[in-house]
Amino acid sequence: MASPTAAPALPVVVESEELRDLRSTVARMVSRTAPESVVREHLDSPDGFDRAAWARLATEIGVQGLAVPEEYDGAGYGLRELAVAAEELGYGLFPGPFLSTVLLSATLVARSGDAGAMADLLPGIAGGSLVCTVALPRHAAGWAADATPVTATRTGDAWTLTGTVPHVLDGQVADVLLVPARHDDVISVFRVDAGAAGVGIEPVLTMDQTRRFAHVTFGGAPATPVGEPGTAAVLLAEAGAVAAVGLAADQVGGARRMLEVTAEYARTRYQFGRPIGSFQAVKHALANMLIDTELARAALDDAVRAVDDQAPDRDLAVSAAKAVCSDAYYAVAAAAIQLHGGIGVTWEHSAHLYFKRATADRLLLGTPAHHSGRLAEALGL
Amino acid sequence: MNPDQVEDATRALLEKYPPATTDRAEFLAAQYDAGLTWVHHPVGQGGLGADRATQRRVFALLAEAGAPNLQVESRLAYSMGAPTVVAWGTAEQQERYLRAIATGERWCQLFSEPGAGSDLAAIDARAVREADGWRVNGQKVWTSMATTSQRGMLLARTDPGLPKHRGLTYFALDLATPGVEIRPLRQMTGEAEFFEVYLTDVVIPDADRLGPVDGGWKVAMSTLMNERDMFGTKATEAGPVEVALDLYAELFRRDQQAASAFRSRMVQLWLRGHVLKLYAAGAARRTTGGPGPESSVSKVGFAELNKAGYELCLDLLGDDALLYDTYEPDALTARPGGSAPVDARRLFLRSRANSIEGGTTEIMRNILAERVLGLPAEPRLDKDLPYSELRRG
Repeated sequence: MASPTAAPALPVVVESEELRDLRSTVARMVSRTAPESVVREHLDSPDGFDRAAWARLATEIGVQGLAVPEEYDGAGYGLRELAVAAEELGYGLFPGPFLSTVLLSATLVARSGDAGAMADLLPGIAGGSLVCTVALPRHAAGWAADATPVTATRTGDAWTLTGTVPHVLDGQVADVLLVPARHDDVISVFRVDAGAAGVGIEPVLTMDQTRRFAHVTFGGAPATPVGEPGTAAVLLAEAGAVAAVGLAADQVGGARRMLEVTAEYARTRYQFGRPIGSFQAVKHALANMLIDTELARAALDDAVRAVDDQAPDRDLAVSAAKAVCSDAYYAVAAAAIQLHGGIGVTWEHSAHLYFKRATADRLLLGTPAHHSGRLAEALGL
Repeated sequence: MNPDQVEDATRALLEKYPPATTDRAEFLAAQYDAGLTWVHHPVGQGGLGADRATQRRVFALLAEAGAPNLQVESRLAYSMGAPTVVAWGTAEQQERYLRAIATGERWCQLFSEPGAGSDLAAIDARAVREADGWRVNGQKVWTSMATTSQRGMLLARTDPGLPKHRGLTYFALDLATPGVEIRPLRQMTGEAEFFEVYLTDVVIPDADRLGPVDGGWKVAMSTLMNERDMFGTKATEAGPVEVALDLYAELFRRDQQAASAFRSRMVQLWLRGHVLKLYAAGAARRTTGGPGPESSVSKVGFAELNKAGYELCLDLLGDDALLYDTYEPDALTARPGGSAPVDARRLFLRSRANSIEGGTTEIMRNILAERVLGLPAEPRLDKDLPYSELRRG
């Protein structure tokens, strides 16, 4: 990838010294342990990421445990810190199950108040040794639990799950799956060990090879309830809100990278005897990329505030951020390809990696259309 | 002076000269003598060396007490003229102009010409040196508040033999000078917010020249940097989103099905406005010194939002969009204390100018690309040629 160091600093990031330190620490780790060559290695590696590098991120910086409560070996911070890390990971396309394990699973488990689940899962997540995921029934529709195709059956004190969930994020590597399942006219969350009898995992080829999915079949798989019965909708909403904002941070990070790389290219690529960045058609497209990225960050910052403060406008701010950042990342990544010309559509160039990621990110945790619908309802339209 | 001391000084002023019972001119003069008109100006130049934010606290206290507010009443003189005078004026000019502005003199801007819009340095109004000062001939356009101002910030060409940026000189023109003729400029909305100013053999004393002869371009830049700042602060006011939401609600009550066809556009418009307001609030928090290129993001964003917003308003109006309230200029323009009543159709027409006035969207994008992203400037044909050899029109 083109070196981003030549680019003048964007006027966007103004934050406390602690956050700045965290940002630069994560950024250094990302560029050291996951340069583009490593990102590419994992496009078709079986796991999609390197467990040793993932563990280093936890043991050396504590990224996975930033928002995990201190009694479970985390740092006990909020989404503010988690979002800074997510942005830097997204900037470098760091391979690893951050969205599934840290943003979704750790949040869901921590909010469940289930002492057993927290003690069993959170220290492992914070330590980088345990990979978890949430079997969301329909990504495009956000985090609605009621579409779950899984049913839970109770025999004495033991629970089993039956049903198939298509495209489970990081299903191919998860050690533990958190599954919303229907029983007794309610929907609850259950945890299932991926290695248990009756769990079938079928990895699928994904357009965005930096995010992996698997179809997961439960054929009477043994399961343990997480939290109180009937709380799946609430827990998924809590985890979904945090994860959607974390994903928005990933989108801002990716957009920032594509903006920097493309500006650098426009400064150094010559046609007609001039740098192409001196042509207004190119200049204006880049200015629009800058505007999109800046506005996306404003929406992201506001959503982080709303979640951390548990503000009354939380759901509105979260949906606004997910909708705006999704469209911004997609537009910026698409423009990056266009402005690179022929090289932009080659396998060799990094633009397609970001474009595919932007395409997947746009759909995950609710499309812009889904979130616009939520906004319309919130506005009473 | 620190902010608390400034507040104390403001309270002392208000106590000594209660606005309710003090003559307006006397109050303003006392405010100026106390350094409270521009607390962020240096001491000795009408200020107290405080920061910009402190001036806002002064205005808040003045407003509470019912004192005059020059930032509103003589916006251009206060926010654009005065900083230019501080940066470029002689000691005599600073005392004379700043006191005049501080006690209520209004200024307008005489920069743009029919042949010099985005390319401001191409202005053609000539100022020729004479024994008793400068003789000026030319035509200026897009001047707001020309008929209610006493002085104009005038940019004129003094040496056509130099390249265009280098042959300009800046004057503070007394508008009562013979040869100054002001005509209203009617816009597509029917109203006349702006004026054309014709200058015919207007004689300006050299004492009203601001900055060096042939060095006016940099002086004008001081003025314009502060104009961007003004637009930036204005942009957070209520706008097309609120008007559209009202029209949507009205249509929803009348015909739910018809309204539902606009639901998606309505949300998208709200979302754009919402994010722009968040951005503007964040940019205001980040800006410590003068206005930066961030204001260009807001400028482009709000201009495009206004246009898209009033387009939606027009669609929501249905057949009523065919009609218009009035094209009678007097019914629309310059009513005291406010603008014309909300007519979405008039605002729709007015919004076409939003991406042109104060720097076109195209120029704003150039600024963002060059100053923030470091892209190279367009190769130029006019940079080193004498102005007299440039192709114009």
